[in-house]
Amino acid sequence: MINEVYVIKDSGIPLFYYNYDQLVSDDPVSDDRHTLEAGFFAAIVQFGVELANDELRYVVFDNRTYGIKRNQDIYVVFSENVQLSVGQLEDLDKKLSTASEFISERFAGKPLDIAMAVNEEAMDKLIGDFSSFLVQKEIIQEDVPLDTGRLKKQVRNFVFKSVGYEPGKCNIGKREKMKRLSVGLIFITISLALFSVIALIPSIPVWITFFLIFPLFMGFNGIYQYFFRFCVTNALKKQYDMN
Amino acid sequence: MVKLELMLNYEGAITSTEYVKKDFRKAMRIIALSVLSSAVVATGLFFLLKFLRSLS
Repeated sequence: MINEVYVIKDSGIPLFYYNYDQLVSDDPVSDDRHTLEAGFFAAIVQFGVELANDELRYVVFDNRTYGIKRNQDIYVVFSENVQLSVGQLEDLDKKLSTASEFISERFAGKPLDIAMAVNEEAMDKLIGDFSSFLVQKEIIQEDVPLDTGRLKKQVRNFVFKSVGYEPGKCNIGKREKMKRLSVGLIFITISLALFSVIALIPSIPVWITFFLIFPLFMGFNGIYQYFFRFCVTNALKKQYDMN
Repeated sequence: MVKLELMLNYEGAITSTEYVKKDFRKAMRIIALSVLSSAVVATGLFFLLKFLRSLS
């Protein structure tokens, strides 16, 4: 029975992940490991193409066998926790082809911008459909109910990690950071310019200086957003922008 | 067959309540820090100006 299932974009971004052992384990491994594994498979497949101009079909460890099926820019990877005989490899191959066809059909004729990070509905549908398909085809075991909530969370984490979004830590990318730094510096400059004007014109009362709190706030806000890699507006709008 | 071209979007909405809460807390911290910093600097500038005016 298949222990692990990956659907990976050729760029190494995992689109779907299932691990039977993790579902039954009380101490699941970090999501980082799965993200790394997805990157590893994408890299070795492409390395195989570059090196031998051929498809890498299997990765065999002492106690685990991975079967890989490439369909254009999507890889489907299955693993079993044993070394497989030739007959078993053929069986694994059939399962891989079935899953790969499902994935192709699922996306054929669609705009394909499932844009998982943007459209979580599409992501949830993909995960739900593919999970049901795997159970229906008896590719994965049914004895442990598939925790789709956890699965969705894992995939969401994959996507977020891939684009660099970290909840409560980082929700903007380089370009957006620079924008906020620019805005911050502009407002700090405006504040200093206004202060100079107030200082140079004695008829303006000193307490007016306290009005500088507004441009200063904008200035500090921009600079802090740059340093913390975090946009306040995005957070309040429940968005992220990693551009 | 349609070429599989999954687009990875670098911007989007967050629907997870847990993540929204984390982001909200961080946003509040940045706002608080900005308010504090601007208040401190504005007060500093106020006293600086007062001092400068007292000299002349």
